[in-house]
Amino acid sequence: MKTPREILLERHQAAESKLDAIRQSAVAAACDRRKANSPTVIDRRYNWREFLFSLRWHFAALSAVWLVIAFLGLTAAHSPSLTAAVPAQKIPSAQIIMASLRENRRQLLELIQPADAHETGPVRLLVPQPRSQRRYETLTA
Amino acid sequence: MLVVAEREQLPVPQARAGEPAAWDALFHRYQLPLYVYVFELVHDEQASLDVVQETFIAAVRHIGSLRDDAKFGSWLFGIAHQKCAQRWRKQSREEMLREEIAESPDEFADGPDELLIRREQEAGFMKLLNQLPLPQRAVLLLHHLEDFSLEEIARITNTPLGTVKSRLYHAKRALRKLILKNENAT
Repeated sequence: MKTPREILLERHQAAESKLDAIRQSAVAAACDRRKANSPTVIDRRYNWREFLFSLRWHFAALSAVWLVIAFLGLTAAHSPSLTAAVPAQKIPSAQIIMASLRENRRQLLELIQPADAHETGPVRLLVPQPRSQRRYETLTA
Repeated sequence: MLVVAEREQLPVPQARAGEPAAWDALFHRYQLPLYVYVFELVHDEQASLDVVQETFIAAVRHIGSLRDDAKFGSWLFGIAHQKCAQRWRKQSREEMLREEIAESPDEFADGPDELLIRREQEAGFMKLLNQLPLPQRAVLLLHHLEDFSLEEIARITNTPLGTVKSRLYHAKRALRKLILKNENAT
């Protein structure tokens, strides 16, 4: 006397060898899956490469922006409009500049020196003057 | 009777952790019952082997979806049943749709199988098994091969519990009739 289970299993016992082969291939697949799930150094390196590669368009766009900025900077530096920003007529002549300087110095002296000092006569300043100024003074004296 | 270790300690947690030895033990435990189940449904050796292989690979891939380790067996049979159903859908729907028209039995004994078959009845048993409609056959096979509970069979075959009860009742009754008939003949 046998149970239905025994009858069924005995009937298909011949397939056991083929099933063993299938089992081994499935176990190998399980091993591969395990290996795939544990990332190695090479995998990590590959992941970095993959990550950078995925951002290639962002890097390209950033590079393009920087190139445009650099180009604009260069063109602005060599632009004649900036050098000609101050018109030549508005630059005062050397004589006017010297006159204004002298006026400034006089005003400074008035401020620094006391009021009675004016009566005793002019006091020479000890502040060293530029050579060009000295020459100008000798010429005008 | 071979003892179907329903509460046997299966190395499912180890398999979950990816241990090849655990997978080997699990597959070794279920390979023949699974093959028998599939073969008796599809009646094609190569197709049955393919389904078993696909089932094993799917089990490795989707072990994370198994909630209860104790249900590994029924989970595995459920995958195999789905694979068979996919094949049926591809081939023909006629047999799939040939459902028995029967009401659920009032009383149903869902206990260990007490059916014992004599050697001279074995051929008759197999013949009758193949004559059963596919849904009844599937239920009967699951019941006899792994002694799955009705709830587990319902989960595996994706059918309501009442339908499973009905199918198993009618399949068992047909088997008993055969045995009694043979006994009276001898």
